[in-house]
Parts: sequence; structure tokens; C-alpha cells
Amino acid sequence: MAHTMPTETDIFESLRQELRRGTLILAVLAQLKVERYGYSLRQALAEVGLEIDEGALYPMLRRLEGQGLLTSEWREEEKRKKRFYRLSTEGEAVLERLAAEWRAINDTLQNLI
Amino acid sequence: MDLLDRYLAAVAALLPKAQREDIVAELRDLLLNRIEEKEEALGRPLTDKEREAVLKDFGHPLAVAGRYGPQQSLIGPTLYPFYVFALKIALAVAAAISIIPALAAGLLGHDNPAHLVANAAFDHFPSSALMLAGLVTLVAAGIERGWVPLTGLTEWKVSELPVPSKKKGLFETRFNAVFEAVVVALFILWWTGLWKVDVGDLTVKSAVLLKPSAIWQTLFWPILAWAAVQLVGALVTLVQPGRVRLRASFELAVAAGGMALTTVLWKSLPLFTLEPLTASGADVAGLEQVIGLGMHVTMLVAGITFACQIGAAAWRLYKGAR
Repeated sequence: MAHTMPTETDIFESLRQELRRGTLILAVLAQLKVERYGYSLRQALAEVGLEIDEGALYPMLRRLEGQGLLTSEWREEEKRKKRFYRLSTEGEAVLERLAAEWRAINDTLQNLI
Repeated sequence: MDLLDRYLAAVAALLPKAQREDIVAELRDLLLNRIEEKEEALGRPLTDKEREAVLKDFGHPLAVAGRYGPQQSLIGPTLYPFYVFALKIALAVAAAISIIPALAAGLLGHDNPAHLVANAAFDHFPSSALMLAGLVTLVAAGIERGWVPLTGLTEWKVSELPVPSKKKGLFETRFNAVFEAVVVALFILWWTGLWKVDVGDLTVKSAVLLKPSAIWQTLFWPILAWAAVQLVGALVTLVQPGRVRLRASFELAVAAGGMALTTVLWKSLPLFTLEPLTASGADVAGLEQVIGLGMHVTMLVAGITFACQIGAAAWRLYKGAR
């Protein structure tokens, strides 16, 4: 079977996704300082220009909750039961540290690129 | 049952029981939101086809359920290079297991060589390669999940890595050790009768029967012990190629043992007696002479080789370097 070489666009796309992966968690944690359910969280992220695949977002929320960074509860809204997430106390502390890390990386990279 | 229920039921079937209800309820809300968003944009309810497209776009139930699993990969990036290395070894072992019996049968003229090659290539090799590769994959997946403890990958020392040599690279050293371990292990299995190689009687072209002399029976345990030491030595080289003195001790023991066995065998020549089956007496006598000469030469070469190995191993034991 012949192997086709990845195009520059393919390479860029894969690197872009790799670059975004870690930052998305930071964005999700930051958006959950306010209580939101999954769909409204995705919309809030989209409004600030961060499109996230729902297929990845929901498992990510569960993982973060499993790690104790988020808390959640089921409530009825708009006649439907929805699961609301928000940052836990532990999550707030982790977000603060991650944000500091992000700013440091950003400052360093600003000098490089 | 509408399409959404069918889709969610398919996802639910693949989710862990404890979280099933919770995840499905959340997915239902999410998918209904998606549908409603589209309906709002179009200003009308979605058709069945459009609803189906929304669900299809969300992903195959297997993929959706898979994202909720604790483990996203069978073998992770940290373990992967070790896994690939183990797979290569497994394939080399499978090749050795397939080729050696065919080679033995071929040399003794028991079967059509083409048939033996075909058998080894299309029957023995694929089955043993698949079995060993499967085993390696199972073990690697077990390590990845922490079921199989393995400290060797984390508790290693730079000082125990082999000293690079211009003559031999690390890969070559390890590859030789793997090859030696496989061959010796197969020999031990065959020697002890645990691995039965179906080559029938030891005959030469079905005309002369080769009968091993009594010395082989006498030397059963010494040869087994010698092979066992050689196997341990090869495994030491494979696992800790940097332990030069330890490796040299094993090489010295194997070479000295080989020299002792060669000496005993030399004194006990001939090592095989020939019994004619269909061959004439003259042919048997001629063959006896050829085999006798071959044995003398083989043992002479073995003696010289062992002597050189004794010298080299003793030197390395003294110097502590390769």
C-alpha cells in the first residue's frame, strides 16, 4: 500500500490540536468559576472563540470531576434535567496555579516568537 | 422507540454499569440541545433524516462510549518503544521455532525441501508469530494498566548500560544474546524431550541409520548443565549488558565446559554408529569415514574456538571492560 505524505495543512492541523489540547482544560476550568451545564459551557467557550468538540468536552468534565476539580449536581431547567458543573475549592487552587504557569509560558514565548 | 433512544441505547450498552444512567441522561440533554439549536436555526422541526444526521455527526456509539473509559490507549507512548522491541524479539523467536525443525529435517533428508520451507513459512511461522505477538500484547496491556508490576523500566542505571564499542553496537550485543537464548532454550527443550521434533529416526536419505553412541547418554546431565549455564549467561547479557565481569564469568564457564565436553567427546569417537538400511557395505564404510573426518574437524574447530573464548573471557574478567 502506498503511503501518502501528510500535507503541510495536515501537519499544521495535528500540531494545532496538540497545542490546544492542554489549553482547553485551562479554559474549561476558567469558565466554570460560574456554574454551567455542558451545552451552555460549550456555547460560552464558542462565544470567546474556543470551539470544542462535545464528544471530548463531556468526558473531560467527568475526568475533572473524578479528579476533584469540579463538583456537579442534577437540576431541572427548561423542563429538562441538566447536570450543572462548577469549580470546586481544589479546582480553584489548581486553576490559579495553572493560570500562573500559562502566563509564564506565554511571557517566555512572547520573547521567542 | 425513536432514533435518539436507539442511539442512546447503543451507547449505554457499551458503558460501565455504574455510570450508565448518569452519562446517558447527560448525553440525551446534549443531543436534544443540538437538535433544538438546529430547529431554531431552520425555524421548523427536524425531519427524521436530519435528526439521524445530527446523531451520526456525534459519532459511532463505540467511539462515544470509548471516550468515557478510564483508558484511552491499549499501550501508551511510554511503554510503546519497549512493546515494539519485545514484538521484534517475539518474531525472531517465532522464526527460529519454525526454521530450526525444518532445517533439521531438511539436513537429514526427510522431506522435500520445498515442502519443508512452505510448511515453515505458511504454517508454523504465522501461527507461532501470532501466538507470541498476542502474548506480548497481553503482557504489555497488563503493564500499562498496572496489573503486571515491572520495575525494570523505571529502576535502571546509566552506569549499567553497556560500554559502546566500535566493533559491536548495543543492538548487535542484545540481538546476539536473544538469538543465543532462543537457540539454547530450544536445544534444552529438545535435549530433555520436552520439545519433540518430528524428524523420525536419524537416517541419511533413508539408506543408513545413524545410532548415537553410549557417550551421549553418559553425558546427558553434563550437556544439560552446560546448556543451562549458557542460557543464563545469554539472559544476563540481554537484561544487563553492562555487567561485563558477570557476563565474562558466564562466558568463561561456558567455554571451559565446552572445552571439557569436547575433550571427552574426542576421546569417545566415533560418536555415531552406522547401520545400513538399504545402502551397501562399501557405501556405509565410505560414509563412516566421511562422518569420522567431519567429527574430527568439527571438534578440532570447537576446541580452538573454546580456547580463544576462554582467553577472551579471562581477559575481560581481568580488565572488567569489553
